[in-house]
Parts: sequence; structure tokens; C-alpha cells
Amino acid sequence: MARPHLTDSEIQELLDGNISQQAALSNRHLEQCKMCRDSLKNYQILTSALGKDPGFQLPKNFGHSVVSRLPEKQSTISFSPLFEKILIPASLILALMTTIYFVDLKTIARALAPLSFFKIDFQTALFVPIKNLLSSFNGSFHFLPFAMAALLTVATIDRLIQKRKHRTHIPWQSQM
Amino acid sequence: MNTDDVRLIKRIQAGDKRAFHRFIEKYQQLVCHVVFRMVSNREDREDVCQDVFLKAYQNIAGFRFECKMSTWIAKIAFNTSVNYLQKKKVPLLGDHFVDEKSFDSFSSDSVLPDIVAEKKDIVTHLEKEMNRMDVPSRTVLTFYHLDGMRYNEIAQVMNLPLGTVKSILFRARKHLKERLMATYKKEELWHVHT
Repeated sequence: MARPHLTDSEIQELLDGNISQQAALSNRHLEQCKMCRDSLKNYQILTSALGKDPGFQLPKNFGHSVVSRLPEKQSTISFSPLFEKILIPASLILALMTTIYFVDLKTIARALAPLSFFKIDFQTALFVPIKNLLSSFNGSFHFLPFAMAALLTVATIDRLIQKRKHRTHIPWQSQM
Repeated sequence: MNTDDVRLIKRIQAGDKRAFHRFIEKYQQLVCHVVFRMVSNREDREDVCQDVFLKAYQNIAGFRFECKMSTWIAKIAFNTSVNYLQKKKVPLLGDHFVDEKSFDSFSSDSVLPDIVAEKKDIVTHLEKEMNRMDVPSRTVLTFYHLDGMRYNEIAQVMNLPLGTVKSILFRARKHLKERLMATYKKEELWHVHT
């Protein structure tokens, strides 16, 4: 039985070189069918024209005019406000916990003595619970990788939020 | 990614403006193709191209070498053009092909007056036909045929499924082929081409 004519999609698949078993069969059909050969030829003419330079040109000094508009200092990667809001207190708490673990509590309490008008006993209210918490790790520092993992999670969530926030909304993406 | 690109980007990331000038020279044609095809208003095209490179400079510190440089800059060019069109309230998606009247009122400067001369030049004729098409169609055609991008790269740039890119491309080409067949006789078309 003779193979039916190639569909428009099949001809375009051939045109783009998406070779498959189907294409091999199509090629054999093309040898015998003038109509399909003509259609392929028309597409070849079209694609050849589409690949030709349409003559779009920017002014010769375009590069210089862009460079002259560049900011004096290149921006570096900056953290977003949400990231900073979470990261900064987290880092401070980590730093405080590490300091308390290694430094004599009495020295710190003495340093904070001028703040005693707040009527807070730093030793019992803050240092002792933290020291106890850190001691419960039996001197191992497994909490550090844990803290790092927590920070990384926060950073990832923040990045996802930022990505969503700055995504260009293109109407056809929801329609196609 | 080739080593030349890596070296160039690292120099730009280190703040070398001469390297950025080289970067502009290397990619301005690609940016120009995308912007000129998407933005019909001639006065604004150069400004949009400038914005593309300024954005590239601002964001190059965060470039992580995960994709080709051409894909990255094409995405910036595409998004900047989309933002421009949205700001100007230009419909991005109509009935696939904008009717001649509405196109002419938007960008009459792009229409050549001499139809006879235009008919002789298949590229010019196609250019006019493409300007009547919707934005996704002419963008996909540009990326595929002018910039030699693959389906998957176009999908990445336009944030569309690969199948959608392919169907836009096939439909657009079919439309253009029909328009060519309607304008030229077969012999004329084949003769013009050869």
C-alpha cells in the first residue's frame, strides 16, 4: 500500500533534521512524490530566507555609550532584606552561644554589670541556660553543622521567594 | 561553555570595563535580533538594547556558569523586551497574527512603501509578514533561524515547555510559507531563491 502524503509537521520535522524511523520512511516517499518534494522545497526556501541577516544594526558607538553609562562600581551579590533579617540575628545568636561556651561566665557578667539597671540577672537568665544547652552536646560540635544546615535552608527559601518576586510575568505562558 | 567566555566573564566580574566592552561587541548582534524583532518602535529599540546590557552588567556577578552565555543574555534581552511591551501596553498575544490595520497604526515606519520592490526581495517581504505576527511567534522564529538556538534553549529563554516552542515554530513557519505561496508563483519563488 502506497504511503499517504507527508503531513505538514512531518515535513517540518525533516526540515529541522529531527531524524527518526518515521523520517527514513518519509524520505523514501519523497523520492516518489512530487507534491511532498515541492512542499519541502518551499520550506527550505523559507528557512533559508529566515536565516538571512535582516540588516538590524545598532550605531557603531553603541558599545562605548553603554560602557559610559555603567556604574562606577560593579554591584556585588547582595543579600535580600528577608535574608538579612533572619541571617543577622541567627549569626549573632550563634556567635553569642559559641562565646559563652568558651569564655568564663563571670568575666562576661562583670562586663555587662553597667547594664544591671535593667534589673536582669544575665548569669541566671541567659548564660546558665545557654551553657547548659551547649554542655548537653557533650563537647561535640554537631550543632554547628545543624546550624549551618538551618541557615542554608533559610537562604534557599529566601532565594526561591526572590526568584518568584522578580520573575517576568509573560501572559502567554499561562495560555499556551 | 568555552574557555574564552569563562575568562571574559571572570574579568568582567572583577570589574574590568574593557572586558565588558568586548562582551557587548560579542553579543550585541544577538541582543539586537531579539529586541528589534520584539520592539516595533524604532526610537525605543536602542534604549531597550542599552537596558539589556546594563542589566547584564548588574547581574553578571551572580552568573554561575550553569548555562551558555548566549542563553543567559538572550533571556535578559527577552525579559527586558517583554517588560517594555507590557509597559507600553502592547498586546503580546493576540489572535496569533495581528491584522494589517492594527499593525500599520502601531508601526507605520516599518512598512515599506514600494510593494513591487518588496516583492523582489523575499527577506524584506518576510520581515513585513513577521511584523504582523504575534510576539511569541516572531521571537521563536528569530531564536531558531537567526540565532541558531535549539528548541530546548528557546524553551529555557522563554520559560515555555519544549513542545510549546516546537508548536509555535511549526505554526509560524506554516503561516509564512502560505503567505509566500500567496505572494509568489512557484517558479518565481524558486527562481528568486536560486
